Amino acid sequence: MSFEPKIIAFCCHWCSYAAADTAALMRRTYPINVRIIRVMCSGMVSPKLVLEALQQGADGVLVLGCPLGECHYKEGNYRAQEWAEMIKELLADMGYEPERFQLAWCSASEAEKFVEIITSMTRRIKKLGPVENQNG
Amino acid sequence: MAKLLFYALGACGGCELLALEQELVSLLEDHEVYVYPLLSSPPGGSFSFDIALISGAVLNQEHQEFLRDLRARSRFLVALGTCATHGGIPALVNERRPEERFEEVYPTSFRQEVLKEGLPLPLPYVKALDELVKVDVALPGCPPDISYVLKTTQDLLKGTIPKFRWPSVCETCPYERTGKRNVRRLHRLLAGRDHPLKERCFLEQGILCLGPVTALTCVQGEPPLCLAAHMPCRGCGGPVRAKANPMLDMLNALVGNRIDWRSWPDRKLILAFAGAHGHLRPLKGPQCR
Repeated sequence: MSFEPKIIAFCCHWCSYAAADTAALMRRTYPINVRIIRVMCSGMVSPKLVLEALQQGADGVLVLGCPLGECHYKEGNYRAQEWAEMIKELLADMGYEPERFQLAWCSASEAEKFVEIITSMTRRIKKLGPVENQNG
Repeated sequence: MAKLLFYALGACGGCELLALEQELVSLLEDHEVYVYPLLSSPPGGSFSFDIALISGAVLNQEHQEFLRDLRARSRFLVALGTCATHGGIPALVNERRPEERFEEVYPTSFRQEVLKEGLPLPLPYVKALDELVKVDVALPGCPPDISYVLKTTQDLLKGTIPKFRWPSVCETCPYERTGKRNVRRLHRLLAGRDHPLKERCFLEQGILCLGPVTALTCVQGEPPLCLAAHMPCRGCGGPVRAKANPMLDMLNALVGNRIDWRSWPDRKLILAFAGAHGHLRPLKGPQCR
């Protein structure tokens, strides 16, 4: 059996969640490994949510927001960017590979980009292997 | 007449000393304290206990077996102290891989001896009590204040389980918060050029204080002990919310207040008292020493 990772994607309501819709309307296919969670803004995805996802067995976490400057709430994605730096460093602290997290921007019309981000992320996580949670 | 047991797993013994407090001694006068680790050895045979007060984290296989055995034999189990509830100081070793820390602390000859003599092997991961067994009452604190231990014992003797509320340390902090957020970096308490002002919040002066993320296990309603002595909180009460990661909460708060979180180099020490529950984990890959 090949390893099928679980990837959690936090998609912002205004851009990337709409991009997922657009991708479906265009009948594009993307890996089934991604579970999309709709959030109002990428700026609300705090490091806590990302680490909690990994601790509960997700193999990778994606945060997708509007392109910089196009945030519906003006500066939510700048905040996401600030947090992304922190998340990468904290992942190393907590014993996870920083590559398990990715922050990306895609606007509502960029269905191609959305599919491309998810495909490349899945490929990368497959190479990394399953997440190791040592609680035993 | 109720049977009580005090027992220490991987602990310093400070929590047991609470049992020598006058109020508790007089409360337990009519009851039987079966084991007290500073005075007697572990119980053999098939005793059962009404209340087991257990302090310390679970470090090795002996602790693990003993704890499971005690849980089966006692009616109420109380996790006494931060080590028992959140891992405490012993759980700091979770920062290193098991082989690594064993090698660093013990010479090879000793390790072989341990294996030969059949001494209990250390667990790969130091745990809090509630990761292994059901805990009826958790009393964090290093050590917990005697008033909580008294109330717990009184209630359990009556057969009811006491409920405690642990607000954050800031709740009774005597210092003033002005809401002016002009600090951008944190510095050490004594390394600053100017001495911290009395009567001002430490965080607003750029000194790391773990008050916001720490449960108030000092006497409630009175100023927290460390802050009353004009020292920042070190987090010995464990996280405010059960299972919360105080390091994440603290860093979240720092970023929210636009403080450069990288200016505090040893951020893992925020977890000095809450390393169990998977919070403190060994580093991966090349950074590993």
